[in-house]
Amino acid sequence: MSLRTILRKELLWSRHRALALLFVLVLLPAAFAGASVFFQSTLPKDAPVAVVVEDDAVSGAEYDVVAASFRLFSKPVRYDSEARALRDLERETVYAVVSVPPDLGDPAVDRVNMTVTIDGDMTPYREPSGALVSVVSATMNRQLDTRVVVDREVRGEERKLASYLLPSFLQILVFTFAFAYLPYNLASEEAVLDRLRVETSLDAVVAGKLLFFTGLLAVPLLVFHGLGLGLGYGVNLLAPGAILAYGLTFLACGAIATAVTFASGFGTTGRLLNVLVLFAFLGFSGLVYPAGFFSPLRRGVVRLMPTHYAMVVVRGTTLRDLPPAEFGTWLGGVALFALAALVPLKLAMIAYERGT
Amino acid sequence: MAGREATDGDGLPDIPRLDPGAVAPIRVEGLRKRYGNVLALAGVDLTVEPGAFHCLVGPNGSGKTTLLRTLLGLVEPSAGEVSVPDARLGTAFQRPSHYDQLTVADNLDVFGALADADAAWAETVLARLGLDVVRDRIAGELSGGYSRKLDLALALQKAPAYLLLDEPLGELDDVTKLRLLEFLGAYRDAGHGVVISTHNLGQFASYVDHLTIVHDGAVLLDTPRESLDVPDGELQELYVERILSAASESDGEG
Repeated sequence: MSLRTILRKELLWSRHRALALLFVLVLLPAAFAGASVFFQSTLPKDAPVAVVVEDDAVSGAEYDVVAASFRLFSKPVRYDSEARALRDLERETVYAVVSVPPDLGDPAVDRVNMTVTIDGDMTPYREPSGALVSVVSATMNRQLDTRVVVDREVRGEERKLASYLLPSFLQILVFTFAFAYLPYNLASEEAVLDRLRVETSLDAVVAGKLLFFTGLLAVPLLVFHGLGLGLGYGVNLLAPGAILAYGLTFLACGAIATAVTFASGFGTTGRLLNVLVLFAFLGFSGLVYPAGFFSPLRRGVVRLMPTHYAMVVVRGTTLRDLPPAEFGTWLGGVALFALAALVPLKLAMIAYERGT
Repeated sequence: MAGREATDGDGLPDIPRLDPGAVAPIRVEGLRKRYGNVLALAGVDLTVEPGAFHCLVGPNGSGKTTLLRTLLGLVEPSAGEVSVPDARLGTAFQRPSHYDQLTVADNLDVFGALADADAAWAETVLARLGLDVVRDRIAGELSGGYSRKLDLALALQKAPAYLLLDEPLGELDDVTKLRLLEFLGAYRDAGHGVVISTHNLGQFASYVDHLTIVHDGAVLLDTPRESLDVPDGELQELYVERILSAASESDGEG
């Protein structure tokens, strides 16, 4: 029976593709299922919030009351300077800033005003911050004799989700370009590599490929920028800091993807592994939801990802028009990450050359 | 030596002449290459003289391709010495090795620039190999024969002192094979070394200056053609006999 023969052929095929099948049917599903632990809750229950104590008149007990009232839906972090707290708000290190007013615990004072400041460009935090203010207000009024009025102040204009997402979508494209298109393009030219190695060097070939594709990013960058302008989003995707962050992200990810491609000898396993790495970068770079969302575990992982800092630089420079110098350290870190990614790339190329 | 007819007379520009005395030979001493448990080359000694037509012949899996790739610097030896003169090497592999998405002309342009090739000579190669008619075709859409010719053109366009070819006549029709052989003979006659890796010695019999038979990663016979007292038509037979004899000795030892 022909169907039986064909099924037998599929079985024989699968015996010779055990590693790839193991990857597709076991490792990939396990990774997806396992990744769900990073998204345990939809509310940012431990997003860092700056609690500023600028006035010496604020007692330790008063700070503790404020910090405790924030603890239910966030992670309070003590700051001694409002300017520093606001700078960290711009850098997405904290998502809200609250100043502890003096006389909070003084029963002689009838009413105290407290302000929770959020950034208008941090669209995903707008609604959670409203809930946060309600909870904090209720908690403090329950605990204190003084009536506490908690106001929410938005710095800058309240940005719409559509324009907030524009730089994120471009970063998603950068990742996809690096982990899907670049390896595909390399694989399509695998047959030429031997000739190229005779005529020049693999280093020159790979360097040329990475630089050319980095340059090609200028096209989608201009398309996104043009569309953003046309739609009236007020997002400057041509900000130098953003261009640098996108370019460095591509170089780093492209180097990783190329390393995987060479290490796998241009095999299916390498292509699948690159897809897995792509998903990891998409899930843990804080592209849409900032680091404090979903779970402490996810926040921990996101804060370790250099691409998260690249995304913060992109948002800061495109949405808030901050100068790139504001993010000098982080851009330096992303550049170091790109340089470090060249090490596995070089090792994979050496292994490839020895193995052919 | 057979096949030393004039390089002129076909209406095409001459092949640039090279003084073989000005080029050092390729030398291989005690070359070993191991891939895991497989010993691909088991101590090969070899000298390839400039200006000679050198055939590396052996059955599939004998190690001749590994030897050729080692000469090209594509394979790192496990042991032994490989001395390749500081001269231009040109190569064509068994598999097509060009950019499929580019046209024939674009491929020649890219690799010509990498090799700093002379434009006039590159045009000559194109014409001599009959590639000028497909100059603007996408390389990935070429027939097997044209695809192989393109690889040869890429190898030739820098006028290499040594031309190293792995099974160069595969997929070619008989007329094209004949023309290509004539061209390779003329190229040798102009002072360039031609190294052919093949399992079909008969096709090259009338051009061979030096013969190396490789079997199980070792050199079974390494001799100038003139020392073999057999006509061209019996060279393939001689090779097959040597291989069968070596195989039966191996079986006997086994």
